[in-house]
Amino acid sequence: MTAYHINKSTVTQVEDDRSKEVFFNTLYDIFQRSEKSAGALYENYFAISGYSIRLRFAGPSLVPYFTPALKHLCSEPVRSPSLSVCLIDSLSAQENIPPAPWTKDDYVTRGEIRGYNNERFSTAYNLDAGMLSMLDKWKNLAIFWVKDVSRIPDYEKAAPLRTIFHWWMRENERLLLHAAAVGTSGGGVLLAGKGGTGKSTAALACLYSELFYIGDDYVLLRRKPLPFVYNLYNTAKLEAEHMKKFPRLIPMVSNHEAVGKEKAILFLNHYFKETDVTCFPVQAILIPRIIRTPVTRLHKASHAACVKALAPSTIFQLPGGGRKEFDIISEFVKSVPGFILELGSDLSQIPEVILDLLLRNKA
Amino acid sequence: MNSSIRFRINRPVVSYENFGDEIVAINFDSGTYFSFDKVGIDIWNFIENGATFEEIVQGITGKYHGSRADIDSGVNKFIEKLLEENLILPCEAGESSNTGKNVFKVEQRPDTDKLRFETPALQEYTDMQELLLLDPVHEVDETGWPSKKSGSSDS
Repeated sequence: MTAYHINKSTVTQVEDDRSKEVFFNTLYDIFQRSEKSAGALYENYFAISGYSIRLRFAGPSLVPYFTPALKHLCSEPVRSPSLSVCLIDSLSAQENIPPAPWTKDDYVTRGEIRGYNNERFSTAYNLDAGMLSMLDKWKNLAIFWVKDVSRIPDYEKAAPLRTIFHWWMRENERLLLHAAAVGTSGGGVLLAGKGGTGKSTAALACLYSELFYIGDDYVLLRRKPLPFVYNLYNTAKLEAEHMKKFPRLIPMVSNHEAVGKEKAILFLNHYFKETDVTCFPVQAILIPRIIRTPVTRLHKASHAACVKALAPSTIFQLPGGGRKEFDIISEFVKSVPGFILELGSDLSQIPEVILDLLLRNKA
Repeated sequence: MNSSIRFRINRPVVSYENFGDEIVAINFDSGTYFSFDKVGIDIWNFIENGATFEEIVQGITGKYHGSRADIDSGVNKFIEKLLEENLILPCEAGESSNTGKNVFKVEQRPDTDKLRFETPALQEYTDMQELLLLDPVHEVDETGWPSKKSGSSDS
């Protein structure tokens, strides 16, 4: 009988995957029906860090929420996109999201769903906004279901689909980093640190300089063969109390009515000339510190300081972040020099100091 | 502390990186991360390589200048803190350490080459913990999806 022996754990794994697949397919079937009944095709293609990403919408209602932040990366349709994301809301579907196959106790930290994250599937639910993200890594297909369009928060418009991008990119030699980045086509710097440490201030201070703005909150990192950072969103976010530092940017704020409750959001591609520079080699990691003198300057920072500035806020903000991200970031920080960037009150000095560093590195 | 006790790194809940002059460790369950240096790195390396408490104290005594009582107390305090933060766990009887090798080198430096013993400190960072806290204001409706309690505001 040994010839017919079946490993019990293999059977359990197959059954386990099957339950996730059934739920995923149920969502996908509803999406396909809704997409057909929409009467027109609502889809967009984006070239993101060398990959072609297709967003398919079940109807027009979600398009204005999820495409503006990616508009600068809009590309021509391709036959076989690297990843397809199907976006649907309950109104477009004309039916409610199917019953959750998990229990109340399965909603765990960072919106992860216990038992629905494995080698093949990743699943998370945003409790605040009623948004479900589910990715089938084997099929490069994701579902994003919003229960109620009116509950989509501004932070999702500023950095749409980051949970799905985070899951998919880490399977494809990219890492979604909680960091800002500015530089030239020849190389640039990552600005690392948790919210409120000055990442956005430093990145936005470079907007009117020779430096290109790659992002102020989330960017994509490719570690090998050389560390490279890619732009993802064209947005900038600013705390209300920091707006006065950037009077020229105030007319660009897209969500005046929400500022105070949420951060101000700016879609920069509306106001700044688009460039072909959407990526560059990383030459240094800068850890901003806001100080009370006018002068901006750099001090050497240890690799450990860089990993502390970069890893925890990346890992703990995104569902499923863990050991893999920590190991990648730890290796990455060893490959480039790190500096503390003391941010003085004279913002014009910030791009000068960064440009000087890049020039010195080049020499 | 029992002198024959061994410990193991609490994987996969904990990951760490040794940067030579500093170790950064992260506890994915609690959202806390830590750093330590100097004597702390030596103690961690002994733990990783399967040393008993007594062997750790001997190893530190061989490398650092200090009274046996001070070193015993300093090592004990540091290990207690690592245990408290769930960065390490005591090995059960017969359980091997992470490496399973129980291979470590006890350096015996001449007194003139010894470094001054300083009680190691575990630097703790809790600023990310709030990102792991669940929204306390939700219930599940009859279809299994969370619904906000009345009176709560959506952010």
